[in-house]
Amino acid sequence: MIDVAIIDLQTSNMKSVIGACKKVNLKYSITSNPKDLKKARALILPGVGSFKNAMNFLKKKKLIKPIKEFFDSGKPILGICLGMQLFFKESSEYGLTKGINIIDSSVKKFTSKDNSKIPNIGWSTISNKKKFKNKIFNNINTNKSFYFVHSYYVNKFEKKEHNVEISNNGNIEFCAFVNFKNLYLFQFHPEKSSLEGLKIYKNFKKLIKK
Amino acid sequence: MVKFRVIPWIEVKGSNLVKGINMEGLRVLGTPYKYSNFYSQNGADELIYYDVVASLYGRNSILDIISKTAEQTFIPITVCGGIRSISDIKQILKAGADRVCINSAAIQNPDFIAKAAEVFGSSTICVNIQTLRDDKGRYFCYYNHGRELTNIKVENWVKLVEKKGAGEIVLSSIDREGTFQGVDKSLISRVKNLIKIPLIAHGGCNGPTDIFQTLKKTNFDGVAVASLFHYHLTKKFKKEIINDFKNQKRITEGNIEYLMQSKSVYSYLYKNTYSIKDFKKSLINQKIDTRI
Repeated sequence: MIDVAIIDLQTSNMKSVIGACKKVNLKYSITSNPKDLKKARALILPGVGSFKNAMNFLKKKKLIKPIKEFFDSGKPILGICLGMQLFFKESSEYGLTKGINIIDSSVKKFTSKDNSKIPNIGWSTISNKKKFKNKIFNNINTNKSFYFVHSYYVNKFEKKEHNVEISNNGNIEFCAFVNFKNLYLFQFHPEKSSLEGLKIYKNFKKLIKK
Repeated sequence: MVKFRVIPWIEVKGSNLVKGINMEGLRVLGTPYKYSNFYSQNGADELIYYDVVASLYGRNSILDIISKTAEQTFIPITVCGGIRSISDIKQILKAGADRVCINSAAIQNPDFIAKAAEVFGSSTICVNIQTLRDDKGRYFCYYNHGRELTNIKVENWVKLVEKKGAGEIVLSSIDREGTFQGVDKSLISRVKNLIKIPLIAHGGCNGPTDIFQTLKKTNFDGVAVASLFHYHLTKKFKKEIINDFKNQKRITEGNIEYLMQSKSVYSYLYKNTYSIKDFKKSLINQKIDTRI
């Protein structure tokens, strides 16, 4: 068994995700083979690139069902940026494309009508509260910032069993973080968010059952 | 809302970090790692690597530097210099960079921006614009490391660059670069309202007050800083930097006089340098929203 299977979407910047895993001593394997998921205690879906291409890639590699089964098994999953968005119902990026659809919301593009900057690049805080509720943010103060780089987003929502933290771009409030059961989804890049980002990897490691 | 970014600008020639004035007269300040480690641990929001000689000698040394840096540095890395093709970009991203910044290839063929943005996404593709104020107060674009003049006005170019799909503009003032004269406020305000994509100012920054005053006049998204931060560290780590050098084989490459001769005529020129941490603290004291 290995700690984490990192799914290689071929377009992702794997180096920094790998660097973060190494830094917190997570044993990882990089794969796009469904069989490897069975041997892993946790899953990371990183992501740079377009939604459509990524979904086509997952389909081609017959990874969608294994990812859903992985979720059903209760093992922790970390989704980053595009790797977050893929777990939603659909995205309008390069034509409406269906996602893995574990959370029933859509991914949309920022528009200048909402006074949003496109792309949204830079560091932002994600909570107005005194403390983070979710244990993935253990030992992190809410005044700390995280690094975002994206043009698509999921609107802020409130649902039972979902823990959501938000950021804004112009008039749009979007999901910066969503936790649903064993799914931990980040619109920002923990592996690019300096020491605070590494703390997220450390906390993720603690969720992995040996 | 995203915060104002402070970005160390790291010029690289071969395996060394170098610094010039007006993009000329490059002086070796050591290997880049000491600098990049310090910056990333002291509040840098990103690092921009500018490969001074990529187009002349190829890109092997910068790929090596990026690859080593990316595994230990958990902030975004942008690479600039001599990027001419989709495969160049692929290579750089594979080495661990998050974004690339294009100038000459975009000037020669603006559609290259569109093509690159289509393949890698707009947020991965920045455009570097190199310009200076001429004697009539106009700004034309330059390329090939500030050497070649074009007849393209900067006002027209920023609009086209945005239209072609660039995700960000890094605006370099050749005439301010390395001079500690302050960023070019009139250039920044001239350009900012023409575009919606983020704008990073580069060249001449001489301290937090410079930025604070410019932000009062024009809203922009970040500043790329070299001399102000580098020379602070050169002073701080001089002995270690020289020792690092002595352990290297290619000690004779480049102008190392400044480092090696403690009484070099230039040694005491830069009094008002800043550590990046103090720089950001001052910005925060001035109520500028930047990352703590």
